[in-house]
Amino acid sequence: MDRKDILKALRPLKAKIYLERTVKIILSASVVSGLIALAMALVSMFAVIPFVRYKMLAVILSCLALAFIASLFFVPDTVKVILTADSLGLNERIITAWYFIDDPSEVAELQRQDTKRILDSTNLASEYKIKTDRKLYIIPVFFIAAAFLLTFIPGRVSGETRIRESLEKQMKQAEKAIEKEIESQKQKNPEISDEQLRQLKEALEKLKEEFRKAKTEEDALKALAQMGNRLEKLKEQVPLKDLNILENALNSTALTKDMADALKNKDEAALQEAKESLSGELENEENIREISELLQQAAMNMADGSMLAEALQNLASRAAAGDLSGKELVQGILDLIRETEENITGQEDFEKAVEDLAGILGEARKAIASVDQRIASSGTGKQGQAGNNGNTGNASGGDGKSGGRGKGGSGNQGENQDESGEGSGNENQDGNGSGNGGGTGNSTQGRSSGGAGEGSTNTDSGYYEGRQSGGTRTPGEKKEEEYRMIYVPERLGGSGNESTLPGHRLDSGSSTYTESAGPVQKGEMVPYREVLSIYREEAVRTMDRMDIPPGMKELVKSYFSSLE
Amino acid sequence: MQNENSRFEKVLETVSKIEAEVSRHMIGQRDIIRQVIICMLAGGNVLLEGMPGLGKTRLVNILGKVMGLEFSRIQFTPDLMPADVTGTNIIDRNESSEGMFRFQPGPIFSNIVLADEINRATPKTQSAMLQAMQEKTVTVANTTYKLPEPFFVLATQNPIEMEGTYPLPEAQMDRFLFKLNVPSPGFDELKDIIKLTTTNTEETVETVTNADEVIMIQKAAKEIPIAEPVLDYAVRIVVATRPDDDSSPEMVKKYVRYGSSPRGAQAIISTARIRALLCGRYNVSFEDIQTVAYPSLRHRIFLNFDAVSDNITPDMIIDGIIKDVKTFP
Repeated sequence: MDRKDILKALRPLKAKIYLERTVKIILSASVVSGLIALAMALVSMFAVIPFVRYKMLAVILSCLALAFIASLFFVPDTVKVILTADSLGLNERIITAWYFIDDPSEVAELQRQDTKRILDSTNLASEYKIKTDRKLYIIPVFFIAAAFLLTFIPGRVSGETRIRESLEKQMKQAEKAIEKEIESQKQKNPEISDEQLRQLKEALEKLKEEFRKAKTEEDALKALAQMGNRLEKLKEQVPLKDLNILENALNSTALTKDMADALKNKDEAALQEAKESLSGELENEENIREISELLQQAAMNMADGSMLAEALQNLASRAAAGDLSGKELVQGILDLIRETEENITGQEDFEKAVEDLAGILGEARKAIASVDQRIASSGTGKQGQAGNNGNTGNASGGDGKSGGRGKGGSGNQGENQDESGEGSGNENQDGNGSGNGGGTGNSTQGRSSGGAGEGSTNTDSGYYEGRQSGGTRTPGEKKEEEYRMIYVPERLGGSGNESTLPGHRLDSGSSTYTESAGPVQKGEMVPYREVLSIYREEAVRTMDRMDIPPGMKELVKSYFSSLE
Repeated sequence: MQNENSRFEKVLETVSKIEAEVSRHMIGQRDIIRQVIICMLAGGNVLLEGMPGLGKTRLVNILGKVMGLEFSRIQFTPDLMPADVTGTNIIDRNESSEGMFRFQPGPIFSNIVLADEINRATPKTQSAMLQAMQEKTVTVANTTYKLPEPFFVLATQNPIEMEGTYPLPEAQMDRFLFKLNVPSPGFDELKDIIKLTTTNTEETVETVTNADEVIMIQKAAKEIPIAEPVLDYAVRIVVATRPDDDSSPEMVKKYVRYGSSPRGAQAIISTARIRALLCGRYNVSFEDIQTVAYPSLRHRIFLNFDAVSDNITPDMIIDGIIKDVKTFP
C-alpha cells in the first residue's frame, strides 16, 4: 500500500467534500446577495433606483458567479480529506498510514495492512453525508422573495422611478440609433474621411458620457442639445478656408514659398523637391523658430474650434520647444495638409452625415421630452407628486460665440397646482444670445402637460433670472385667487439697447470707470395675470420661429390654456 | 516479519484476554477495569479514589492473579513507618552462630502493591512509597535494592474522610499516571455483586499471562505509531489546561490555578497506545486521546477557589477543553 492507493480510495470522498464546500459557499453567497437585494428593494421605495429588479437580479447572479469561482479555489486539502475519512469510523487509521507510509517497522506494516483491509471494505463516499444547514436554503429564498415582492409595492418614488426607467430606455435607444447612424455613414456618404468619422464618434462618446450622468429628463435633453451644438460646430468647420489660410501663410515667406506653390499647383515632384529643400533650410534653429511662428499665426487666423488650427498650434509649439527636427516639422505640415485635403473632399458628405444625425437627435429629443407624458397617460399620473415641487425650469447660457442657449426644466403639477420656473443664462461676448426652454408636468388627475420654448435675447438680456409661481387653486374650482407677485424682467424677448461704460483711461495704465446701470434693468413686481398674455405671445412667437417638436408645442399650448 | 506479526497479534490477544478475565470476576466497573489495565500495561501507577467497599482491593487482587504477578497490600495508617513499607535490616545469625544484619524486604517488594488509604500515612511514609514508585528501587542503610519487574502501585484514598489524613502533595500526585474515580455500582450491578459474593461458590481466577509477557506488552506498546495530527491534538489538549496560555478556553482561564505538567502529555500518549491495542488497532486515534485525557489530567489540573465555590470539578474542565479543542483545526 502506498500514497497513491490511499488517494485513489479517497477520490470519491474528496469529490463529495468538494461538492459540499461549493454548495455551502454558494448558499452563503446567496444569503449575502439576498440581503443586498432586500436592501436595494427597501431603498428603492424611498430613492429612485431605475430597473431595480434587473439590478437585484444582476447582484444575485454576480454573487452566485463569484461564489462559484471562489469555490474553485477551495479544493479540500488531502490531510483534511483523510481526517474526514477517519472520522467515519476509521479511527485515524488512514492518517497514521499516510504519515508512516515509508516506515519499514513491522508494526507500521501491520498498521498499513489493517488500513487497507478497512478501506477495501468501506465505501467512504456513501458513508459521508453532505450536511448543510437548512437555514442556508430558507434564508436566501426568503430574502430574495421578499426583495422582489417589495419592488411591486408602490413606494414614495415609484412614479419618479418609472419616469427614470423610461428615460434611461429612451437614452439607450437614442444612443443606439445615433451609433447605428454613424456606422452607416461610410456606406451612405463614402467620401466622408476617417477623421470626420472619428469626430462623430467622439461626439457620440461625449453624449454617452453625459447620458450616463443624466438623472432627469432635463439633463438628457441638455445632453442632446449639447450633442447638437457639437455637431453644428463640426459642420461649421471649413477646412478649405483653413487650408487657404495655411497656404497663404506658407506663401508669405521665402522659406516655404516653393512648397506653397507646389501645393497650389498640386505638383507632386515640385512638392517633394520643396520638401527636401525646406528640410535642409530647417537645419537652422532660427528658421525653425520662424516657421513655428508662421504656423502659430496661421492657426490664430483660422476659425475657432478648427481641427487644423489646433493641430498647427500643437505642431508649432513642439517645433518651438525643439521637440521636432526640421525634417519632422516639414513632414508634419505636409501630413496636416493631406489630412485637411481629405476632409475637404468629404466635407459635403460630412455635412450630410451631420444632418442625418441631427434628424436622429431631433427624434430622440422628442421621445425623451414626452417620457413623463407617456408615464402619465399610462396611469401613473394618478400617483402624482405632492404638489409642492412645482414647475422648475432652468436655462443655462452657452458659450459666448454661439450665444446663450438654455432650456426649460420639467415640473410636476400637484394637487394645488403649484408651479414655478426659473432659468438663467450667461451674457455672451458679442451680445447675441438665445435660449430655449421646455417644461413638462404631470398632475394628480392623470393629465400631463409639457412645453418647450426657445427665444433669443439681445445684448442686455444675456443674463436672465426669473421665478414665477402660481397661486393655489383646487383643481376644478373656478374661483380665481390672488396670485403672488412675480418678477418681470424688462425687454423680455425683445431687442435690447446698447450700453456703454463711460470713463477714460489714465496715462499710468490703470483705468477708471463709472458704473452705469447694467444691461438688465431691474424689473418690477406685477400681478401674474398682467404678464400672462406677454408670456403666451412670446411663447407662440418662439414656437413659430424655432424648430420645436410638435409634442412640445402641444405641451406649451396646454400649459398656457391651463393657466387661463 | 512473521515473528513480529505473531508478536503483535499475541500482544493483542493477551491484552484482550486480561481484560476479559478480570471483567468476568468483577461486576460492573468496566471502565475502571480497562483503565487500570491500560495504566498497568503502560508501566504507570494508579490512584483509585472512591468510597470504601467498592471492590478496589478485589480488583487489584484479581489483576494480580490474572497477570500471574505477585501481589501485596499495605494498609496505610498514621503510625506506619517507612521501614514497614520498604523493609529493614534485622540481626540474624549465620550457620556459625555469628550475628549479622540481614535485609528483610517489606511488602513493597512485590509486582503489584495495593497502597490502601495512602493519605492516612504520614508524609514521611508517603514519600518513601512515592520514591519507590518513581525510581523502582528502595534504599535501606546505604544499600539500594531493585524492585521486581514489572512493578505497579495501586493506591487508594477515601474522598470523604479527610480528618486525620495527610493529603498527597501536588508534586506527588503527579507521580501517578492515572487517577481513577471509582463509581458506586448501579442497581443491577449491585444485585449481581450480592449474588456472586454471598454464596459458597468459589470462583477460580485463570492466569492468562506472566511477568515476562507483561514486560513484552509494555515494550510492544511503545512501538505503536501515532500520526502527527493525533500527537498535535494530545499536546493541544495539555496546553489548553494552562490558564496562562492564549489557546486555553475561558473556563480554564477562570477556574484553573495550574495546568498539567509535561508528565500529563506523556501519560496521555503512553496510555493511548495501550488503549489502541485493547481496541484491536495498531494506531492511536483521537478517541483514544480523549478517553485517556480524563484519568491522565484530572489530578494534574489544580483548581482555584472560584472553581471550588462554583462546584467545578477537574472533569468538567477536561470536558470543556475537549469540546473546545478541535481534532483538526
